[in-house]
Formats: sequence, C-alpha cells, structure tokens
Amino acid sequence: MKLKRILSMFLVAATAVTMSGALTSCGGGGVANVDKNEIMSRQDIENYVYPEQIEIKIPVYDRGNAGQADVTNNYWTNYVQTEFGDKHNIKVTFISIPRKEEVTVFNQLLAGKKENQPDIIFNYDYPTIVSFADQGAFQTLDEAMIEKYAPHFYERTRGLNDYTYVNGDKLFLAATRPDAYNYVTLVRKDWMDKLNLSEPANEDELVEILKKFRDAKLGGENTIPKTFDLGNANYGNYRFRPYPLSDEDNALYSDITVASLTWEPTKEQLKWDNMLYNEGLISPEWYLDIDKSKAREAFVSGQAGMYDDYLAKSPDVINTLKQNVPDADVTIFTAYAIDPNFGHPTPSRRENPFGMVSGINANCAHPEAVMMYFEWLENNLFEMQNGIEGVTYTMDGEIPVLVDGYEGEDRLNYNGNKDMWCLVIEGRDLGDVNLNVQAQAKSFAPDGYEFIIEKSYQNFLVGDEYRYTDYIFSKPVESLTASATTLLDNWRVHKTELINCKPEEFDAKYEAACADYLAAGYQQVLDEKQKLYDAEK
Amino acid sequence: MKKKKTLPKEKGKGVKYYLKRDWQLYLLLVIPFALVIIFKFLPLAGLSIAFLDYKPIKGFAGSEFIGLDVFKQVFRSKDFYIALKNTLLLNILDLVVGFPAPIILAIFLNEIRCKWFKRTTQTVLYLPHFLSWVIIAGLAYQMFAPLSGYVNILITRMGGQAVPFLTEKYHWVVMYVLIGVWQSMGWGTIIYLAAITGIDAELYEAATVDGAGRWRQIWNITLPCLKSTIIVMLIMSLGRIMGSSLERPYTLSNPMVTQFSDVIATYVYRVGLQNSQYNIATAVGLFQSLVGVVLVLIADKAAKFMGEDGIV
Repeated sequence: MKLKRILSMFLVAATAVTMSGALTSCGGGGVANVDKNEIMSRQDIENYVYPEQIEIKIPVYDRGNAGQADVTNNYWTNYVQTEFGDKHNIKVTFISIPRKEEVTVFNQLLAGKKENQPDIIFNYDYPTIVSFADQGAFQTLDEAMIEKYAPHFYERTRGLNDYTYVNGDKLFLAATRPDAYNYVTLVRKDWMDKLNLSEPANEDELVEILKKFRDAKLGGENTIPKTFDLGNANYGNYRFRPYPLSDEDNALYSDITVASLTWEPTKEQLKWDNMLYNEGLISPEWYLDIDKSKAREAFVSGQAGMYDDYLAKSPDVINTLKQNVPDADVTIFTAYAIDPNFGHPTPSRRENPFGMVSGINANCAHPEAVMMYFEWLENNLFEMQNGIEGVTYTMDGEIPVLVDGYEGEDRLNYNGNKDMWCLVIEGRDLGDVNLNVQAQAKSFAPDGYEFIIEKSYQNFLVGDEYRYTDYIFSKPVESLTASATTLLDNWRVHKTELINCKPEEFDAKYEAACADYLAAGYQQVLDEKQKLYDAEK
Repeated sequence: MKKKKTLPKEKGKGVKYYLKRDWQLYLLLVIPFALVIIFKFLPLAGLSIAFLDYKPIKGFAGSEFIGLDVFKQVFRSKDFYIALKNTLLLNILDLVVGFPAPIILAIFLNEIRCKWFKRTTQTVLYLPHFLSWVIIAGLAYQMFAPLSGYVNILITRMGGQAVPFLTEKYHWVVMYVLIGVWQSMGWGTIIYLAAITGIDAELYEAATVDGAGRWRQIWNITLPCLKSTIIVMLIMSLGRIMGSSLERPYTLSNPMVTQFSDVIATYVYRVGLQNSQYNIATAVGLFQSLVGVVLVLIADKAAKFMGEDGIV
C-alpha cells in the first residue's frame, strides 16, 4: 500500500513538473505571437509599450575581477530595466558570459533550451562570429527594420555595413571602434638621462640604447634592457613586410589569429629577436611568461628599461614603479619619423574598424525589441559610460573624468560599464579627436603622465598613412577555426626554439620548424585561404 | 508491522513480498542507484558526439552522422600519437617511481617509535596533496626556473652551472615525476598504514622470539601481509595508465618541453575544447576509457592468476 502511495506521489510530482513546463512554453508562444505589423505601423516607437511583457536576454562579459558587482544584477543593469525596459514593458535579463570561456559558454547556451538562449551572440573576433553564423546561429536582419527601430545606431554604424553581410545576408550588427592611443612602450627616462642618451631615430639606434642599458646595469645585476614575453599568434613583423603589401599577401599571411611562421617577414623578425636574445637585450626567461606578468613585474620592480603594454590606471604600472624606485621616471619615444629601410615611417597594423560584432539569435522572437535596446544604448551612451555627475564622474571643461576608486553601490562596472555598451561602440567618443585624446589622457594615464597619451597620439598620426587593414574573408576559414589553438601551441614551441638558438643554427632550425608547422595544419589554412581569396576576387 | 516480532522465513516468496517487507531499505538504495544512473549512465548518451559532425547549435538530432570519420581523423593525426606516447611514458614512469614510494614510506613511518614525531611527519607529508597543481607549478618555477629560480641562484652563486630543471625536456621529465611523487606520496601512505595496523602483532612477537631483526620482520611479515593491498592498488593504478589529469602536465609545461609534456588530456583540452571540436574530444576520451578498461581487466586476470582476489 505504502509503496503505491509513494509511487503515486512521484507521479503527481512528475506530472506537475511536466505541466508547468508545458505552461511556460505556452506562455512563450503567446508572447511570440504579438503582431509585428501592428508594432511596425506605430509612429512613435520610443513610446511603444508592449501590451504583454516580453523578455530580451542580453549577454554580458563576466571578467571575474575581484571586487566587481554581479554583472547580471547591479545598479546599472537595474538602470537599464527602469530607464529602458519598464518604459516598453520589456524585461531585460542579462546573461553572464565568462570572458575567457566565451565560445564554450555560448555553445553551451545555444545547445540548451530555447528559453534560456541569449537573444544576441557576440564576439570581438571576426572569424569566431562568422563560424557561429556558419552554424546557423543567427537570423537574417532587414536593414529597414534596423533603421526603423534603431535609427541613430543605424546611421552611425552605417560605414561598417561591409562587415555585417555573410554570403549576401545581413547577419551582424557591428559596433564602431574609435581610435585608442594607450598602447605604449614605456622607457626609463632616468636611465636615459643618467647615461646621457638621446631618443633613437631608428631600430638600429634603439639596439645601441638597449646595449647601453645592458652594460650599465642600472636595474641591478639582472638588468633586462627590454621586456619580452611569450605572446600569442599576433607576432609583429611589420618592419620586415614589403610596403605596400599586396592584397593577396595580406589575405594569406596578415592574420592576428594565426602566426605566419613560413612567411619571409616573420623569418626576418624572428632572426632579429634571436639577435636581441643572444645579445642579452630581452627578458632571458621570456618563454615562461605566458601572460606578460613577469614582464610587468620586472618593469615595476625597476629591473627593466623598456616595457610595452596598454597604459591604464589599474594596474598603475608607473606609480608602482615609482613606489619601488623613488627616483624612477618614464617616457615614451617619439615615433621614428623616417625609417632608413623604407624612406617612410614603419608600417603597422590598423585596428579593425569594428569593435564588438553581434548577431541576433535565430530563435529570438523580438529582434525589434533588441534593436530598441541598441538604440537606447546609442542615445544614453554618456550616462552609461560616465554614470552620475559628482558621484562617478566630474566635468573638467568638456571632458568627463571618472572618479577614481569610487566604491558606492552605484559605481560603474568594469572599465566604465564598457561590457554593457560595447554592443554599439568600443570606446568613448566625444565627437572631436582633440577632446578624445584629452579624455583618454585623463582616463588611462596617471596624474602627471597625461603627456604620454598625447605623445602617443602624435606618434599615431605620424604612421597613420602607413597602416594595413586586415583582410576580412566573408566566409569562415574552417581549417583555421579547427586548428587555431593547435597552431598557436606549435608556433610558441618554434618561436621559443628559434629565438633562443645560436644565430648560426637559426637557418637550419627554421627550415625544420616550417616543415613541422605546415604539417601541423598551417598548409591547410594557407590552401583554404588561397581558395577563398581566389573565389572572392 | 508491530505484530510481527520474528523475521519471516518463508521460501519462494516473490519480489513483491521482499519489496513490501524491506521497502525502507530499497528506498535508501534508490538514492545511490539514481545517482549512478543520472551521473554515470545517462551521460553515456553524449558519446554519440564522437560519431557526429557535432555542432552545438544544431544539437544531437540536427548534427550529421559521420560514422567513424572522427576516429580516422584522430588516428591520422601526428599530435595524437605524440600525446599518446607521452601519456604512456609519463604514466609508466609515475608507476615505476611513484607506486613503490608510498609503500616504502608507510613502512618507514610504521617503524618510527616516537609517537609525536610520527604524527607530525605524517601530517607534513599529507599537506602537498591538498595543494592545487597551479600552486605547485608556481612554486616549482619559483624554485627551479633557469635563471631566477632559487635553486639555480644558489648553484650559480656557489660557482656551479645553472641546471635547466624545467626547460630541458629530459630534466623536465625527471622533475615531473619527482614533483608528482612529492605531491602524492604522503597521501598514498594512508591505505598502507591502515593495512599495516591490521597485521597481527603476534606475528612480530613470534618473529622477535625467533631472532628476526627489523629488516627481516619487514621483509617476511609486513610486506607479505601487505601483498593483497598492494595488488589491488596496482590494478587500480594500471587502469589509470592511459588516463591523465589535465592540471599537472598543463601547469608544469612550457614551450621548451611540449615535446614531452603534451599528453592526451592537454591534447583533448586544446583540440576539443579550445578549438570547439567536441567530437574529437569525445572520440579521444572514449578511446582512452576503452583502453583503460582493457588494462584493468588484464591486470585483474593476472592478479587472479597469481592467486589474489582481484577486483572484478
């Protein structure tokens, strides 16, 4: 008897669960059936209120930083809900995406139930987002719809339209990327002064300076003239590239997701780095430094003479160095205006014109609501980027300056809420280059070092004419998606081997490394790129 | 229920009868049973990924069936064989060096007469087991880095030549095994110490009367009494010889030694998870488990052949 009773209880419970599941899906279906034409015909979208509440699910990066608020539930997500969601009767749910496992997590979400899927899938990496498209993750968008629901966003990002089509279908929404000037190579100014050195005019003079750093041992017994680290597939070989670079070479070899070991400029650059290593001019244990932490440690402890990184207020490299070495001072070099090798400034890579690339989930029932959210972000960028005047920022003339170390409940999330507004733009844009430079100087450089960003901007202008834009394939290079990390590991092994070997062994080792790298999958990547390139031309 | 004071002895009663009589026990059994089914057997359905051109967005049903293509691809890949070779190499070395270590240590610990010293030593020896590999690898590089490692600083200060402990592949293999022994040895002694406690003290007394010294007693009493425990542990270790943990090789590795440090676990992580080729990861995992099962069965047969109980 008792067994029967328990069994029947189980049955009741199971039925209840199934029923509630069925009920929810019924509810979902009902919401999805709101007549879109009726919405389309509305004149005033800004004031449109859904008769029945709908939900949009927006992914947001979780960077796992200590002390951050819950990325899916904080002052600013609530702000979005009250300022945007409640006005239209839209429930805005944020879905946290761990920054370092984004592809895996998006894959998991997309493999799961439809109700739990985010309405947007995004990525900074173009090949990755194209591979999502290739799997059928997105719905085709209608430009008229975007223009209707997000007119300001549409207007401002129109220039990126080329990047938003795959095989003739509009699939993506691309955020713009204002130029940033905070990637700098810091130099110990006090060392330069002590050794009575002047700025280098080209790479050879730079090497002479590094040798003097090495010999003077101003950073102690184990002075590192210039820090160097393991790095990723993006290996800067620009100095040895032919200029102008042919479209085909650009398509085949210039790729930040896979290193071009077999390409002549890469060989030359490796040889150059091999020379620096054997001369004792770069970090001797660079290949053990996978995340640049050892390089930073060497610089802030006063051991290193030169160090390149994104300048930021946190971690504050400059002030940490000054705490450790009170009479230390830093500067950056002026770009070598004319490189004797070229007769013009050293060419370099132009950042992609787009920032975040998003697509709307094929299962999203309300693309128009998502577009309304984009439009709201577009129109409320200033508030989202800076927060509340007098609390999270203060105005310095025309420039909003964020308050350092504000800890209140209404503090901005990581990097000034960037992970929320990155859908529409990748940085602050005050509408004027000079204002932007000043704003970046104030937001990236510690007090008293604003000149570094200003100088970095001047350097940027010098080389601006001589920049490459990466070739973007409109189809995924499948062999690359499949073997990117394998090739990255392989590249790191060969890079280490080639830079650390004796100069006379270099050529033989290079040949063997190329053969191995090609066999590990690079040959396939090159063949596929060649085929795609030929087809597109 | 109260009326029944003696257990019924009837034979030939049906399942129903026992279910009714002992339903509380069966209900308790449901819990572990359900756990095994839900967490061990149901996920086996996921193995089908190995036979599909699996795309998460399309799901199991939507992905194309491609038969054994994935296995063919894996077995054609050079990296897979390197990973396989390294897995076997490192695990066999681990077995040869790491397996006897806790036995020897347990016997030594057992011989310590001073109680507090024995306990303190045991506790200190257990500690590394609780450290994560990330921390151990961090410590290892602090200690043994070619130039900035403390050990090499000491060596060079004393006029010696720095030793590339972790940056030359053969040195690395030795360090890998030794660090592994250091980490797991203390913890491994627990089971042997327990077994030693179970040995009849009279045996030792008798041996002492017969004039056997310490070494004799270890050789003729402790070790033979430990034999069955050792064999069970050995069978279990053999089952793991194809398996590999990700953390240890992954954290201890660096680009100078990947030729030896790339094992199946790191291969699966890199190819399967980082490159999102889930079918390859599944296929390799399946292969690895099958070989593991076969090895366990062989070891078990061998144990039975030697007159031991085995585990199956």
